[in-house]
Amino acid sequence: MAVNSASADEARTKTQKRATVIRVLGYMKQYKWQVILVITLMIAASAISVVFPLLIENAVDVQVASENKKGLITVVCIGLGLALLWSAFYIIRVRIMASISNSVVLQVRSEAFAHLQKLSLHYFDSRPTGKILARIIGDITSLKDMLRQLVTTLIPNIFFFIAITVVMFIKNPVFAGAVFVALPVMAGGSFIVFRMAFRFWQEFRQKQSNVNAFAHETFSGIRVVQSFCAEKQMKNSFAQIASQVTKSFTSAVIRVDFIDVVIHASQGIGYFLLYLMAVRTNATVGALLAFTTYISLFWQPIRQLANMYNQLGNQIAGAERVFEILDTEPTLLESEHPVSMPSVRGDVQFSHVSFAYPDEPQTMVLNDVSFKASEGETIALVGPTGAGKTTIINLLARFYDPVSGTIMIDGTPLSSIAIPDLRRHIGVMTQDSYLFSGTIRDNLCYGKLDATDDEIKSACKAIGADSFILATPKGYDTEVTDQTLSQGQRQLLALARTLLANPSILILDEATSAIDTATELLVQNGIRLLTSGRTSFVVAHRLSTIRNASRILVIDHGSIQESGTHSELLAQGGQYAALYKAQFGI
Amino acid sequence: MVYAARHKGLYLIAFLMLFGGIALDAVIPSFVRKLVDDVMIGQKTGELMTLLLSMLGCFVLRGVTDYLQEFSSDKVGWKVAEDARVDLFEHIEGEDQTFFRENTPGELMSRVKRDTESVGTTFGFIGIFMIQIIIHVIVMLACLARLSLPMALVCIVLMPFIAVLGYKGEKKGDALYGDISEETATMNKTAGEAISGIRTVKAFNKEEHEKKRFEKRNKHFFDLSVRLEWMFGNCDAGVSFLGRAMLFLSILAGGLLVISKKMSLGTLASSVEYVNNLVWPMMEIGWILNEISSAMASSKKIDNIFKRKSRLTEGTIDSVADDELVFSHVGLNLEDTMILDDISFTVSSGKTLGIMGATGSGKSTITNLALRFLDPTSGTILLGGRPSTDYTFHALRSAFSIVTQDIFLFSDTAMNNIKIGNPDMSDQIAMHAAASAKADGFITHLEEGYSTVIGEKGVGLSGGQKQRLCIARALAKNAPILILDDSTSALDMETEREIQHELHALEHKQSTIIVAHRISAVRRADEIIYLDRGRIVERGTHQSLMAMHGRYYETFVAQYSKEDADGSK
Repeated sequence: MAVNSASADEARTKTQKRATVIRVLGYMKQYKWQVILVITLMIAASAISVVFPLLIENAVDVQVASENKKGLITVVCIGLGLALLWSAFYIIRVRIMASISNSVVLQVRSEAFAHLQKLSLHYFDSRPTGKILARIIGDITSLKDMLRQLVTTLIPNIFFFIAITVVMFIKNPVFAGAVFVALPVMAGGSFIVFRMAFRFWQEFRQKQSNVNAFAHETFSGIRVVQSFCAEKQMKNSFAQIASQVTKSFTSAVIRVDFIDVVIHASQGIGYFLLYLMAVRTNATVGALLAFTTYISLFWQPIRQLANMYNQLGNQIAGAERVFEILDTEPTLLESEHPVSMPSVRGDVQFSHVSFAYPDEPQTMVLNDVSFKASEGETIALVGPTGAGKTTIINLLARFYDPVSGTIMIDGTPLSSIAIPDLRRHIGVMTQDSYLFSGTIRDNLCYGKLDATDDEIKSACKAIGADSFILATPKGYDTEVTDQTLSQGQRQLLALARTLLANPSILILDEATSAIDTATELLVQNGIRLLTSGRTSFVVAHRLSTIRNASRILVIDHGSIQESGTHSELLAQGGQYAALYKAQFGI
Repeated sequence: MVYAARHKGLYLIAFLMLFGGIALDAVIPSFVRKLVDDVMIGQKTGELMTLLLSMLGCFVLRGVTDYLQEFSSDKVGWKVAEDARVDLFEHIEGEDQTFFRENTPGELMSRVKRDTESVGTTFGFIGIFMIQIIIHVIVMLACLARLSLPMALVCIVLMPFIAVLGYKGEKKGDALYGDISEETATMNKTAGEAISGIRTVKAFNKEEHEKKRFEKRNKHFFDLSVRLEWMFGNCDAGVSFLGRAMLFLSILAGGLLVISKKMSLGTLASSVEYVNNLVWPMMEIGWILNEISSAMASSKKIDNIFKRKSRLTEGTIDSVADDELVFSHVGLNLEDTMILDDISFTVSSGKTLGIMGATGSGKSTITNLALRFLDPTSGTILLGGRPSTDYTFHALRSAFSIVTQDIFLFSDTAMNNIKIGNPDMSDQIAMHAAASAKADGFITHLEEGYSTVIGEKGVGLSGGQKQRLCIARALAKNAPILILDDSTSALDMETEREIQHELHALEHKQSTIIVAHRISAVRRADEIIYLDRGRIVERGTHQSLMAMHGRYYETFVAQYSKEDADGSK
């Protein structure tokens, strides 16, 4: 299985910048009217801003010059009133915009999270947790920035640009034409700058994601780091990753900031041509000076648009990473016509099942495995590590789908059973039992949220977990995280959690490996109680756990080597007999 | 601030460019004036091209100063963020176990990534821009005061209101950003758990449940973000209004002065220009405050981590002379719960100690104490005749090779996982260790052998394979004392026997502490202690414990059979 490490960059997909922007804008459709209102308010506010200079001119040139006190006071009052109105418009606009843009983030984030959970385990196994987090927590904010820019910068500025252009051409087409020559310089320059910087924005996002992953991983494995005195080594690697972030950022901004030169240069060219034309056409000073006021108004939207365009690079690079999650097809699909199974007897059949990981189709992990388990039987899977035992279990729980062959429960193919039904009837206790932060009780109820206190307690007693739970400071209400309990304690809780869910088919994958013998005896009794009457699959290395199974399958090199009861296999004198002797050959 | 001082050069460039830009802004209008006065009015057309070209040059130069100022301030911000990141990372690495119980990896990741970033930007772009604005305001106010003191006074009277409004906004923003930073960390934690525990989530069909859990955080984050933006919206609107009020009120004041003949109309006109120039910086205050609040909130979070002193104090001795490990009447009481009580034992050089006991009886805690992940509340631990607190962490932990119960591997190559802590180790040593741990067989079968990247926490490998890598890693470290904390539980019996055989060969060269549930793992130990509820209830050799017919004997019977037990005596 190809795996991405914390410090290596993720693969980059081919980008379609325009499609990304359009997709982001698509989220705005539902807020059409709010967006129109925001734009209207912005235009109204800018109209007010245009009035301010006129008011000031009037106050100084007309009212004060004519010594009209009353008039002066009136103009000042109008000014104050308009300033108030402007602020009111501003508040309304900000509020609407904040609601819309954050709603989109809320929506995309929850869509991404929901979609993420549908993805196959392969997705999670092949990349560090920190990198997935970087996408659904960090990168999503770039959507918000993009939306805000598109609505509050792009649309109003285009509007202004058109308005001012029209006014300029009406006032003096020659001058306007001279200024306009500078525009292609500006547009071409921005485009080149954007293109040059984009790759580095993508790189920047990847490097940031590495920071996330590396920090997450180091802090998760801090005990290993400390006990191997690897703090310095980790710090050096981290420093390297951190400096790569700075490097990619610097590479991006050294290009992006160049837009300043482009803007000023094209502005300079505009003025150059304007004065040249003014002199050549013998224009009057008055006409020229009046026109320069428009020019400064003309450059304002252009400058803002250019800046926006360049920030867009970083935002698109972020948005792409979010959409990539949404576009990853879940490989485990529920059948189009799922068979609902309200109850399950527990007949399990594997026929000619083979499996390989999707990205390494050549390496067969499981090869032509066939067996049958009838209702109520306990099947033990034995074999060296890496032989394929856990794979059989992953397939049975439908964490993965086989490459060929079929698996059936009660005669129904696994792939056509409704996934919620399937998971409800199959209880899996995996090798690495995960606990969520919360109380012990929360964790126990994970498979059955409405479990009563009595149910919880009797499950814990049956498993032998209650004595350690009661010894914790707050008993069942003690807060735990995945890191606070010992491996054995975690296994006990996970067992109780699985048993509370009361599945019809039980899978225990090395469920008791870290539990001491005395407790295991207790647990065995509990498990015996619970395996009776339901089909069970047990993976274990200790023969004490295996001896009483209805049937033992010896797995090696991805296929079944031997099959039979404990005494049959001993009599056969094969691999199982050798294993048995290994443990008891004192 | 310390970080900022390291990048004086970049700051210098930024400021030089800032002033260069101001100077150019002053020069450009003079060309325009000359163009108008000399060329258009004075008809000296010969100067036209020179003037036009020098103006164009000035524009380009102006672009260059802007460019350099912006680039150097962007860069300095990230440099500061980078330095803070690395330092924070290093500091967190040195924290003790209680810290990591209180802070999940998801939360810490958020501090290291997001919070340092927000502090960095403030020291870069925002900081320099703010200084630019302050200089601008002071210059404009000074010019205004020279022309018309009363008008300047109007501005000076209104400015405190703006300041108060800004200050209040900053305070509120600070608090909200604190909440947002906290919520980001919680959101990371919640999503991180759902991702790390995805097998459990899927096994219990709990996707919907996890989605709801995440949704709650997501919604809360939404509420906080909207509240923050609304609050700054109000603040912005208020400041803008006051800025404009400043303009109109000063015109009113100036106008009245002109009307009462205390000032000329021309002075008023140019004063108005200056006031106008005071207004736009006020419009920028809003978002600057926004950024500053964010940085303040983040820097508080970061400071809290820096300020927290590890509860363990490090000693000064940097090498361990002798590898005798002694626990003398060691007790540990956490939150009024007796975890360990009166534990005493000695592991002399080359000897082996076996530790058995029920789940939660305190076996692993002993190893945690030996490596000083926490300190005992009573008794002393001696290493080489000195209290273990006398040594530096590095010296102390270098004395131990440990295979922890929790299998944790890094998403790195198999080779680098074995070499952890000592990247300069030769490949031969690493491979030899892998062979002793019976790991070389499966490693060489991986797609790229020792260079194959292993998933985070070793996903993709079976439990036994992961465990063998962990053992290889510990053997490669080759420290005087080897601790095996329940380290063979996930192995099949044959492999376990082979590894035990290898380890047995190492015994007498290395002191060994074996924590195990299986008799087969400890029976050869020089001393075996049996723990129950944090106390030693039985101790001795395999033979003497079997003869005792106590807990050890019962365990033996459970694992083998009564006949075997009585036979082996």
